[in-house]
Amino acid sequence: MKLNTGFFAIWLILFCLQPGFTQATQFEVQRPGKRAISRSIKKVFIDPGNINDTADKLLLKSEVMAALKRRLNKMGRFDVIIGPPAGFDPNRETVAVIQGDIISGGEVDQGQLTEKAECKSGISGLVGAGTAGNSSNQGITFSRRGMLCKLPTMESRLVEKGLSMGLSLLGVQEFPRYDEVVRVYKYKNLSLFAQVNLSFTQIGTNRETLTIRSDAASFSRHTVSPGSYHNVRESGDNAPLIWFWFRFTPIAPVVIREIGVVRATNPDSYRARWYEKVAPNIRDIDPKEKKEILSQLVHKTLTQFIQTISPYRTLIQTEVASGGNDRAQKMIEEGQYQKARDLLVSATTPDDLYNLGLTYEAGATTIEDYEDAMQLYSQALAKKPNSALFAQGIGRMEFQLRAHKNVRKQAAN
Amino acid sequence: MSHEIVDVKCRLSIWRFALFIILMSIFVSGCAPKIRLKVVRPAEVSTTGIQKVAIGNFEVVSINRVFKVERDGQWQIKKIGLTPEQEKALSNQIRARVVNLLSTTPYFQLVYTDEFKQLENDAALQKLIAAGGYRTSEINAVINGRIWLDVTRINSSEIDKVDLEYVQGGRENSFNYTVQSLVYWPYKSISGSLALEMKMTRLNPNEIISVTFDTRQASYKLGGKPAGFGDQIASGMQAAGQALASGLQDRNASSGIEESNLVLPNFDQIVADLSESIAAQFARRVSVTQVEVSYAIATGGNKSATLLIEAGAYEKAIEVLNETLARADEKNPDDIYNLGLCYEAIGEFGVALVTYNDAIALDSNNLIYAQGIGRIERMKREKRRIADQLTRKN
Repeated sequence: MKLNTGFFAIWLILFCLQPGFTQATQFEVQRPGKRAISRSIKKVFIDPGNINDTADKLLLKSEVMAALKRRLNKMGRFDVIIGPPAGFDPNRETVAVIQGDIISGGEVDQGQLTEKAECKSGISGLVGAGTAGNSSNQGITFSRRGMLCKLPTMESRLVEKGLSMGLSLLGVQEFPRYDEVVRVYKYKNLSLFAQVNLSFTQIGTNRETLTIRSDAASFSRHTVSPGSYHNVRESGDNAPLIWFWFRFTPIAPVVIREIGVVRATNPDSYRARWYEKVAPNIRDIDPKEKKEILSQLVHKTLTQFIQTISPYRTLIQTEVASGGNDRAQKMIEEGQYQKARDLLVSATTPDDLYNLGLTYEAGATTIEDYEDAMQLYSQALAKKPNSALFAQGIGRMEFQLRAHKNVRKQAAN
Repeated sequence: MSHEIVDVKCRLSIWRFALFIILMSIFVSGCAPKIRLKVVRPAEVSTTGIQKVAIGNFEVVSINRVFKVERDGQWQIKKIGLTPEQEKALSNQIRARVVNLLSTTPYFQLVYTDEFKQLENDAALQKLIAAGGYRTSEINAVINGRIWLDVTRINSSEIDKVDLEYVQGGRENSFNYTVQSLVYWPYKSISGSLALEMKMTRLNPNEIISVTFDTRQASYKLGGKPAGFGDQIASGMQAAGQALASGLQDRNASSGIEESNLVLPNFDQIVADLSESIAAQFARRVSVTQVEVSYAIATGGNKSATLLIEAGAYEKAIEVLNETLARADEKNPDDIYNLGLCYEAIGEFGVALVTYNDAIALDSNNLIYAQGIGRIERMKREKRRIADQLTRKN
């Protein structure tokens, strides 16, 4: 009947040993495009004249076209040309043209905010301030009594509590000094946004738009200037006066309204307006980094469009079965699927059969590879019927085969 | 005396054990195996016979962009206008989000022709349709829209008191007090409100099938007075919900692009988010859509089949369950129910209903078997509408 932490720990270990908790490996696999595009379309034109950039404030047009060309060519399904559709006979050849709009923009916002922070003495206060500064990139200020002030974070609270408990277990009792302060600081926000609307139209004996997509991506960064943190009111500001009052007149509250108003936080006050003009020491985004971010935005906005019209490579997360051929397992983990397949060609144990199936799935170039993988996963499950891992493999393959069937059905229509 | 202490300890242990069992039951029931299926839901309006749809113009009726600055109670209001090119780009942006959602429903074929897009407004479109003066002949319907947009940015401050605690420290029960101070808490906010009227007009015979008018609002704030306890709980739960939702998303969908919740979204971003939300509502109204549902798997049957169903391997599970049931002298109703579930998952609803009936005949008190029958019966009732809507492809 006795419940103790040991019992709970054993239960937790057993729970975490479930398949969902075991370590999985990521595989890059190839999937067919989501829309059936006729095999007769081999040439695709990205028409710059029909890509509207009126609202492209970040000037992403050339990057969008170059990335689209690069990624589609890489998959090998289409031969992509940047330029208006030309040099083909529409009665003999069917080509496709990509056109659309690019909408992009960015904003920089600078300002000053107010926050309430706490300052604590002692080892736990010191370590807590360090933790808060480290985990949230905030500025640490000093109170008049020489304590470090920080906006507490969950990490800093945990560290402080843990340290206090540890010290009291060692017999060291802390009675720290404690102040609360109001402080102001400066920030700079950057946000970037991109939306790409693209259509894919076939041109041949008939002209038909096969798909259209509109995808957006955004980037945002909040930067504070640690050096701009500045205490404007401390709880200890009037401590001697209050101590004196209580010593002789132990009646509360003390009502001195004007002393209570923190004027320095009013954005219209002289001090705040002066402080606003002081240039914040916040590093602007590096041009090289900005280029990288814009490239990421373009990449994200194009991904769904590319996956709709072309085969694409994607990551799946699954385990490699660990009870079979060790060398083959390692090869699969390293992405050497063909070598692993050669090693496992005469596999008989369920784990080896599953891993062999995995080599077909990961390196699939045709739908038959999925059928082979499915067969091998089924053989593995027949030998080890209670394996969730093998069942998941079959589930993945059934999904892919169903998707392929749907694509074929759409193409037939 | 010692006997009483032992008794109290024992009772405490029983309570702890009971609590543990209750928590575990909640946990286990939450983790009961389920399958997620996609089922089709009929459109709210009848769009029978409509297969090819053109998207017309999205007319900008009004756009208000206002920037408000407050200092010491004095407000300065500045209106920021858009050029005609910017208005056109905005209209295209919203139109594209609508097209995007409609193009993902496989039951409409969107026809991209500039003929209807170039018309200035709804009146011009309706006039063209009424006169039958359009050139693009194979289109069954046209969707067009009207846009009202308000975006307000505010730069102001809130005044609120704050308690500041002081502890002298150095010894137990040292001198301490709390003072109240009146603090200005500067903030910036952006709020947007988008109203979108969307109209679907059938061509030949000419009729307006659906007119929807939806509004969406969103507001974001940076800074301001510290959140109260209730607000902290609410925002914590919201953050947890968002984290859970993003965890359920496809791995590829996560962008890996840095985003901070301490940055206000810009104008284009707000417009994109609001228009997507309204477009989703419109798509549900006029098109057959797929919704994801979660159904319980019976756990008392063949373990291997249960694993296969959980993994989405329905066809293999059917094979395993058929073999198991053929071999068994006494058929397990859970296996029969799971077999029905597999048929339901692959869209064989008739076979699924027969199978669920077989399961309930063996165990008439089982709720999940009855739920299976209920689902298929409901689907049959809706099926006439769905079939009607789906036949437009033929």
